[in-house]
Amino acid sequence: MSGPREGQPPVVLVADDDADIRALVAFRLERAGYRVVTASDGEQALELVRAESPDLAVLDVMMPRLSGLEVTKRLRQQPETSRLPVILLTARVQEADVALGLEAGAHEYIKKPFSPQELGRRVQSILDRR
Amino acid sequence: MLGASALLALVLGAGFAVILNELEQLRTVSRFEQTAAEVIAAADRLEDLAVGLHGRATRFAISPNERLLRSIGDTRRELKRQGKELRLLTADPEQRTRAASIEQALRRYDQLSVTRLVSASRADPAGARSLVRARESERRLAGLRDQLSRFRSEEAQLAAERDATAAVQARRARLTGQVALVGSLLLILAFTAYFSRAIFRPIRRVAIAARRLATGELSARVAPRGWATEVGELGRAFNTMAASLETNRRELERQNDELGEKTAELERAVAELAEEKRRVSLSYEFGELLAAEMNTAVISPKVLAELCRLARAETGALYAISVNRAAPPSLVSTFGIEPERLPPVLDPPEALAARALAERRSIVASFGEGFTARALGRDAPVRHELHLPLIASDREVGLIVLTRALEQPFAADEIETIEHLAGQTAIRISNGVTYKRARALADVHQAVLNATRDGIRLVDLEGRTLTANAAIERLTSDVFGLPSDSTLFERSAIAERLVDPESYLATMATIAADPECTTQDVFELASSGRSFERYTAPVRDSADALIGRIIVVREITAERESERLKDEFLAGVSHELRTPLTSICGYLELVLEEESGTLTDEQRHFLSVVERSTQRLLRLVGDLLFVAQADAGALTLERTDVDLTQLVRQCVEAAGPQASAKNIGLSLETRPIPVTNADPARLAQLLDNLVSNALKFTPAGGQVLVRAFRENGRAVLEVEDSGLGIAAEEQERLFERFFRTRAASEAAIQGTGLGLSIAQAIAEGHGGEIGVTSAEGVGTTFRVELPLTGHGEASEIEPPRELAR
Repeated sequence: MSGPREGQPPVVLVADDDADIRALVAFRLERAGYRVVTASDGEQALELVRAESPDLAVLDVMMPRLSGLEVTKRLRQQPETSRLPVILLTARVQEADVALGLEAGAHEYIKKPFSPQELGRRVQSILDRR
Repeated sequence: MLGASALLALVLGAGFAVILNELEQLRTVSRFEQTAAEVIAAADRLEDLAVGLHGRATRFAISPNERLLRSIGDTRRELKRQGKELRLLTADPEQRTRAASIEQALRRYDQLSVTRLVSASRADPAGARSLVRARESERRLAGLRDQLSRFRSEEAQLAAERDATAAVQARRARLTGQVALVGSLLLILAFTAYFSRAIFRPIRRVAIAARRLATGELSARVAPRGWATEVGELGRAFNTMAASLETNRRELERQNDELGEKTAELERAVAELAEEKRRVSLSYEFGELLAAEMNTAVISPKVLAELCRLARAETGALYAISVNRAAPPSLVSTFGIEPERLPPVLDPPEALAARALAERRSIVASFGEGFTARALGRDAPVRHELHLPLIASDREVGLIVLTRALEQPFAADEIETIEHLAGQTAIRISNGVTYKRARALADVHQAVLNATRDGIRLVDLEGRTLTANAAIERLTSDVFGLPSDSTLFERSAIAERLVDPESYLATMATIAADPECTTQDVFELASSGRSFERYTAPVRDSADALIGRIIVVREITAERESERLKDEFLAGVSHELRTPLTSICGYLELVLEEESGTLTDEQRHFLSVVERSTQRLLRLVGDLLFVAQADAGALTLERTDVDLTQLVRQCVEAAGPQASAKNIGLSLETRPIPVTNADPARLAQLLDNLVSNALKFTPAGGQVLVRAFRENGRAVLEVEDSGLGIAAEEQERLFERFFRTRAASEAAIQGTGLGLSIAQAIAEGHGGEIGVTSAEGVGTTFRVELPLTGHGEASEIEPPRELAR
């Protein structure tokens, strides 16, 4: 995984099976100056990571085919993606779910519903730290 | 007695001594007399010799010749010897002096007269003749002869004196002897008399008494006479001996009597024993007969027949009473009579039978000759009837009726024996019934166990099966594939086929280490995914002794599946509800932030209503999910060290704006509470619910006071408001889900009716409780008590302070 590309905005992958939420997050992040690529399921998300080499991934936990948790685990297993920052979005609010997500290697765990502005701030703070 | 003997001996001795002394003196006197005669004879001879010598010397002086001279020499020697002899013979001292002087005079005569004459006659014969003529020698001789004469007369006088003395002495001795003799005789007589009185007679009396004693006359005694002597001692000793003999004989006679009595007693006992033995052997034989019937409650005709034989009864009938005594006694068995001829049940019981049962004792009835019982008699007339109630464990179990045609009635000892045997029969019947009931009960138990879906097995302390139901047998052999006769510990082999063998083996180790432990675990077969819950617990008998362990195995595959489905459903609902809400909230935020253009005031107002409703909807969804989770037992607490005072303060501060908006005074009062182990997020949720409730139900200008303190080792949180209050009848239902008070509905106060039910779930989840006190129009106080499970220090003391107004 490469660092932020010179002169180019950071690339953020947004994966959610709900098109409205995908659009909402993409709108908010593009407004914040990021390039956003979107996927509607886990497998597509993994393909896009390979294709686009994003700087950060925002993944919904409950997605068809591959869950966000599973995607995170696989990313951590690949050397080139093992350090890709991941923010998990979930409607599941059980503490056990949060623990699972952090165990899988997510940096942040944001419960739905969330404030788009807040999400933007989290993304920015992670990318700024890199 | 000894003294008397000694006295007698002394007196006799003294008498004899006196007599002996007198005799000795007499003997001395007589010796003196004899000596005196000899002395006088010797003096005579001496005089003769001296005269002879003078003659011969005179003759020699006149006519010397040799022959004469020789004769003179012989005479001189003889004279000398005789002179000496006289001296030696003389006993009296005076006489001896005289004899000595005579001897001396003789010597002088011999020398001066005789020797001179002889010498002169040899040398001067003439001179010799003159000498003779001078007559000197003659004078000398005459002097000598005078001397001798005096000596003789003295001697004779001495002898005479002694003789007189001797006569006196002899007389005295005779007298003394006579006196001593008479005295001795008298003494002997006296002694004999005394001896007879003091010894012989008492001894004779003793001897006579001894002879009487020897003939068996034990009352013989010696009269107490002369008791002071040794013989008296003998008498006393004899009397003591006789008395002792008599006492002994009396004792012996008494013992003899006793022995006789005992012998008789023993004989009676032997007879009784023989009777007892007869009864015991009867009873034993009868018991053996009964024992053969162990497995049936019915006493066979054989037993009844034996009883009839022993009782010498021609007929007999046995009626049994059912266990619950609902039915009257019914005929079980007969002897000597066809059953058809007897009533099958005693309903109502025949008079005698009823009495026997009611009074619980045998009843004997005798009838006059010729009486024939219609029911019990065959052809023979019945003369006697015996009704025996059968009682076992204080319960009537039946009745036996025996009849006898014999003349003799049932004797008391016969009845006793029969009663004893009947008692055994009763016990056997009772045991048979008890056994049947126990069997029936055991069958019921086994049926219940087999009808139970859970697998149940009871094992002993070594793990061997005591009881197992069909379900566990099925599980063990069909599902687990284990031999059904294996022990609990051998069945641990199943572990290798489980998803989590370690936890299964750990449970088995716990059971093996502690027979008293109770365990509960879940295991899942790796191959099929079937899950089982296993519960084991120690089992004690009625005496509280450990007898083994019960194992209950329940398949929970379906439950687990439904639980999983429920979880999935909850997650799904949550997801399905939140996803659209996420869109609504998100886009609303974009619009309100004017990311898509400027809003008019009116638009902003409308959208803010949408946002508020969305938030309410969101809270409702959250509350619903929480309640659903709590219902499913899935309420998990993220426990950590919590400073309750701090947590309460934060909640109160967060509610400050809401209170201010409603112009309600919100204040906090805390006292130190030690840090405790709890879920801070859940407790904050609880407190938020209570505080927001208080604010909702308190009219503007009211007061809400939050307190946090420690009491009786528990943390107490109180939220007190000065609100509407809750009607007493509604307080009970306050924590029910979706329950809303009438006041809340009427005042159109927002709420789902879930807040308090969530608060209760959280409090109880922490092992605490929640309660309410309220008065309508005055206010309401919710009180939460939580156990303190931490170990930290109390937080700072916080004085009451007003947070908002």
